[in-house]
Amino acid sequence: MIRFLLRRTLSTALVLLVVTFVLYLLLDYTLDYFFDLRQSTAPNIGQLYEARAQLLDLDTPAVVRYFQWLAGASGCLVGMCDLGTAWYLGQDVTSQLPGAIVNTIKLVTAATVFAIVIGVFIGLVSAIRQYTGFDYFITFLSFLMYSLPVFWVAVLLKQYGAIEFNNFLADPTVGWGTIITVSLVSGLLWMGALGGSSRRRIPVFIGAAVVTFAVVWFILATGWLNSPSLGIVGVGLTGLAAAVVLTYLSTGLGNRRALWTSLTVAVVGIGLYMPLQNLFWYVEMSWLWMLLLLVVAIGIGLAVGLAFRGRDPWVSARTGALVAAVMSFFVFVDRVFQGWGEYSRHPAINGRPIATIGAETPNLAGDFWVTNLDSFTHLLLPSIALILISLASYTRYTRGSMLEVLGQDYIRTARAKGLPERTVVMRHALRNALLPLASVVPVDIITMIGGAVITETIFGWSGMGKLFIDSMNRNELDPIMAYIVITGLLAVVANLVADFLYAVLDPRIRVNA
Amino acid sequence: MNKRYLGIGAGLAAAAMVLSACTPPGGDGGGDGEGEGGGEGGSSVLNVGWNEAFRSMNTETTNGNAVANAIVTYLMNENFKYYDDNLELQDGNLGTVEQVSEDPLQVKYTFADDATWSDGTPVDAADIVLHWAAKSQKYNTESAEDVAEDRDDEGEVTEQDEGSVFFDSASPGSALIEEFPEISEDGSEVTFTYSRPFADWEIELGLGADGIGLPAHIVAKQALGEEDPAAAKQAVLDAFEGEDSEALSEIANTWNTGFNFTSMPEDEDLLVHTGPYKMTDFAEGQYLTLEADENYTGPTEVGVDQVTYRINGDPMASVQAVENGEMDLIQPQSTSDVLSAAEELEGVTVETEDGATYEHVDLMFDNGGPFDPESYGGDEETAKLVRQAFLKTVPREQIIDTLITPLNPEAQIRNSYTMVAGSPMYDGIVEANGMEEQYPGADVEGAAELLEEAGVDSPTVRFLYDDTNSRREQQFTLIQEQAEEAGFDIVNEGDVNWGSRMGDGTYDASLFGWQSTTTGVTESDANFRTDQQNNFGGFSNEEVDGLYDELQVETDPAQQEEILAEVEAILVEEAFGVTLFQHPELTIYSDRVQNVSSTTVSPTMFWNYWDWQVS
Repeated sequence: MIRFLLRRTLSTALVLLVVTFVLYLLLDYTLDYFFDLRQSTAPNIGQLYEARAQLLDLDTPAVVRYFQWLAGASGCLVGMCDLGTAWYLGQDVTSQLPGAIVNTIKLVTAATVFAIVIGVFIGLVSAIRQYTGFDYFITFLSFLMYSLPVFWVAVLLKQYGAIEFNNFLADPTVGWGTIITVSLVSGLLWMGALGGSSRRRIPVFIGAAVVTFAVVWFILATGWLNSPSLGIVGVGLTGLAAAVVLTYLSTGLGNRRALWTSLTVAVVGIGLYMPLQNLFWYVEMSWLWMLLLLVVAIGIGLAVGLAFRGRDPWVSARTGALVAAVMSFFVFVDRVFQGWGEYSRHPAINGRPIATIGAETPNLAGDFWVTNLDSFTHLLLPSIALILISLASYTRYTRGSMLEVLGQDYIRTARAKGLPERTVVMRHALRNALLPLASVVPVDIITMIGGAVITETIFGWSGMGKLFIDSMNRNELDPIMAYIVITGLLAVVANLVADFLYAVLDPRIRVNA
Repeated sequence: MNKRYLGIGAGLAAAAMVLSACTPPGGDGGGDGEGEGGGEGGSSVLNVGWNEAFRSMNTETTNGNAVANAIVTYLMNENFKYYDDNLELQDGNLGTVEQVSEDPLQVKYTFADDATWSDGTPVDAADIVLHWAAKSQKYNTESAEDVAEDRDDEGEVTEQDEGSVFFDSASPGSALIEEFPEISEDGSEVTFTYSRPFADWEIELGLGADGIGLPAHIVAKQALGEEDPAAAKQAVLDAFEGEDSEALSEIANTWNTGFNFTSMPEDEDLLVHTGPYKMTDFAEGQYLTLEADENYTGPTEVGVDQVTYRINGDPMASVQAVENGEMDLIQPQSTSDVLSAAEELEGVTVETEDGATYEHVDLMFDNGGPFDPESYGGDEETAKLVRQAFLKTVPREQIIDTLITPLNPEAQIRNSYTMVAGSPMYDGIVEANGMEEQYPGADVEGAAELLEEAGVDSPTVRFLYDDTNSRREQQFTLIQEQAEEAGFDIVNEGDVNWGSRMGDGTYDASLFGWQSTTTGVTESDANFRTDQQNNFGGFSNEEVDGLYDELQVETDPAQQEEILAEVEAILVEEAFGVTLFQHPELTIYSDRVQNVSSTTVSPTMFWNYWDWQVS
């Protein structure tokens, strides 16, 4: 194990050295350090050229400059980072990086989590309903999204997700035709996803359509869009629903102890709703508080599960913890959205809450909740753009590997010995089907961190991708090198994580190999 | 079912009910409660979009001299002179500039009574002395070459040998002021003496966004640790007058890099300013906020309380931001897509004007190509005829009609090498230089005749341009068509790295843009004088050189115009090249802003910020 790590570290260092050396020379050859002077008609242009050449030390051979850069960069190993200067901005690279990294992580984290969860789920359902209308529909949709260019999606999202939606918020009315169409489509989707015989399909279709219709009507009739919060009723209902669904997925409703655990957790959550509102009001919140409360919630979930004991208390505890986490999420979302009205009326927002550019609204002073809401309205569109595109590939991967696993003998055996379908799918098939994803996801995350260039540019997020492309445009060598080192390192780490994940998920594989 | 579990559940539920009895003090949490709606009721806010972030308060260093900085410092500082939208010089609020003697040229700067820095220190002699001295290079003990050795690995000029002085700036006008200026008793009047007459004396110091430069007392405080403003100012004056290289070294270091920042600086001293706006917020890479300074006592009255610069480099994203109300005023890169997208918007005004950059075709005189006399055994006349023939084929009107008019309906052919259309001297020069008659464009027959006269058969012309720029690519196609019809053999040398090939002799004709920064008459010197940096074509003409010598010391505008007209007539006759058009510039603003106007040179649409009103 240690030998494996050591070997990997050494080879990584070697690869990084070669990569940075080659790229440094290539970039130095390519970049035009005088790009801003080329068209200048300044009378003292000769001196300007000379000053630039000296500023960048261009008389020194590039190879020597590389080693000077390397000397500074290797200082990072001992905590004396010197990654050079972005000469055009006159700024140290080390002071440019933290802001860029934070922004990118903000952008990428939510998008990745949602893309994976939703992608795996849709892929799973699509595989189970192979060759049905639903499956074809999902296949069509995922190929469509996969082939969409992100800059085009981004522009469309801004047009309809922000500009038109903000116009709509000013006067949220929708024609009956639209509402009915939406309800019917939703009915069809649910029917396709749940499948079954025609006797089961029709009630599903009607039920889903009616529920959708009611929800849409409720949202429009009560003006919910302009004060979107769940309230104790909403949090309670979603919590109870989450309890049932999560129990069904993780243990099956047949496991009564697990069901009682999750329901109890949901009820406790509802009970804690009001006290929490008091806490949020009296105490200035922060992410540390949020994390603390989440830990407490998960603790309660585990405790309730263990209190119910039974043959396998940890199964109940796990379910309880899951329900607690989901409840906490909804309580958080509810609290954030309570500030919607105030936020929307703020003069800096001016009734147009969904933003098309930037990571925050300038000059919006607000508490923890308002700041988060502001972050959210800015994150919404770029996240959707990122999710839409990576969602497609996750759906395809999951569907493919799930189908392969479902066709294997041991699944037939499991079915033959009479296991319920839920157990076959969730416990025996899905876990193995996730193996290929384990090698794709870490690499994907890294690609997103380094590669959200277009999304960041169009949405005006100053993250890593933007830093890279801007430095390119400004012909600044040092920030580009820093970018290359960081993404290169992360790529290596991601592959390492993938290897370990593989070993954890698949007992046949050992990292020593 | 074990009853105990039910019991636990019921107990918890009961406890929950009890707890929930306390109603939170924030009301029922309904989103549409009586929100305060922020605390800035009644203040007017303007969001301006720009494609590049601010990076330095000092707009006079080689690197700080950028529009992205100027548009901020212009609003934060007063000045002596600024350009209006007709490119005419107007008086600023800092004081007056007058010529007190013609020979030797003496210029007196008088500070207005209410000219003060925002920390209460008056603006006076020390400030303008620092402003001049830094640009003059007079006090640099080290030539730029020596400094190279002092730069650290990254090339920052931060650390120098003790006692050596290097101000990272250069201006030919200030360099002509060799004597330390005369300063009145109270420091409110400063008289500079030029060592020889200088045409552009009016715009040499205190122009536009440069204001009076950096606050001398802050520079001294940072560099020398002198806390008292008056003493600090005196220290600066003493350092320059006594050429105290130790103090000057510190001052130069602070002046070069001490005022560079890319997010809100912790040290408020860096934000000391003379104008009506103060900087209140600066989020790296995202936005920068200026607010009307309540302590400002000068005469400028601004109509907008808060100006926020939002940074976004994508033109289409900026247009959509205007539509979504996130930006009110933008000047994106002009393309037909952006223009048509902006014109679709309701409640938005789109204005197209001439920008600061102009497109031109230049020929190479010294590379052994078809335009070099060397190719014809030193026969000047033949080479000239070939040059004239080539320029005659350039379809100037067609280029403008097909490529520029769609973006700017009022676009015209630019007929002057040195002056931008609309500037005071343009009409006179165009009338005299003969470019319009000589090279009307697409004159294939005339070109063929000239070629015949020269006795040169189908010369090969290698044409360099940026082929990643679609507009230049289209221009090349149009030029190529006509030239080939007239008998030229055109080789496509399109190259994205055209900039680094300038003047290296691997091409015969080039197409690119020059960007004007002022309307100073001496600015074109670097383009046309023998062996100057911007004279890529190797053009050399003694008469032109002589005329520029004359122009440098000519202070009478009428004479300046005459000299420039003579220079241009020679350039036309010698077939130096042709000018094509001014790049179109797009100003897009929401109807909630009034009185927006843009001028060709920096700071473009910000020039009359005090007239802005928002509703």
